[in-house]
Amino acid sequence: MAWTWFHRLASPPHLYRTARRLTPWFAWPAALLILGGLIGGLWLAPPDYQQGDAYRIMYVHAPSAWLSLMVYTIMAVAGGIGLIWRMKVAHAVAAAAAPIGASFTLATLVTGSLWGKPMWGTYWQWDPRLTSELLLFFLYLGYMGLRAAFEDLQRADRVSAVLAVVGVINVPIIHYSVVWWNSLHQGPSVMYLGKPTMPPSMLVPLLMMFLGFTLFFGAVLMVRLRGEVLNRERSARWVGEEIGA
Amino acid sequence: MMRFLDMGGYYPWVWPSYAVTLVVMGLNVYWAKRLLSRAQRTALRRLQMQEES
Repeated sequence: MAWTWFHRLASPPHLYRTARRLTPWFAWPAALLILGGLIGGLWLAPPDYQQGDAYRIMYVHAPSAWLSLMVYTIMAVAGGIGLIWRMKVAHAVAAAAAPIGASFTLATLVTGSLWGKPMWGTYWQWDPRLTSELLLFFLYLGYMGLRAAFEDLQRADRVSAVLAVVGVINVPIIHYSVVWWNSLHQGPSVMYLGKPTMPPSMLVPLLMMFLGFTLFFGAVLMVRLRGEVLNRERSARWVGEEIGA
Repeated sequence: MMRFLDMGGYYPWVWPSYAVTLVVMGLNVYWAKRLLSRAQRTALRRLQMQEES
């Protein structure tokens, strides 16, 4: 009984309709939270005692980095489900998520470089955190490249899912790189030993941005997922009813 | 206002960071809508061809 929702989501028409219904529920809260986070982060939060106003880059850098890791983990889980249960829609989820994750990984690298220049004196260092994040970007590109290389969709699904599952080992490496190795990159900013490391005036806008970016990903994923499902189900009868043919 | 835009002298790094992120978000919305509308158009064409044949 508890798994009924899971099996229903495996049905392409059900997933298509659910994605359409959910889109505004992700999009509007995302827009409001990001707007609030921008006002709080750029205007209301005080300058940092060490980094001055340069630390405000954190309000776009940290949520982008969070998305880069979260999206890849979702792709790996979806890819794994697709491989184990041969669920087509799971592969569609992974394929729909990949370009979003890749673009936010690029945003993480660029905003990190822009933060690095005034703080470390350089745009780039072959530091464990930066290097493993760059590797994640290449994993995303590899995943999308592999999918594009196969004409047979099922084969593309299987091969790219294997890469997503194998590549997920990089996610904990990125996360713990600042703890395991001597890194230029600062340690955890939001939580350290279960306690926030910054005052509420700085923390609240950051949490709003984290949640806003996550919901933004949800909204974009829902739209992309509908496109992916339609591309896979072009000839199905339900498609005609949905798109008004 | 000038003090806000100056970002304590860090404006050459702060504002481009926000610009890059906003461009990435805008592109994501554009790409997603384009993917869906293309898929809808292709599906519609295929269905019309099926009806005609």
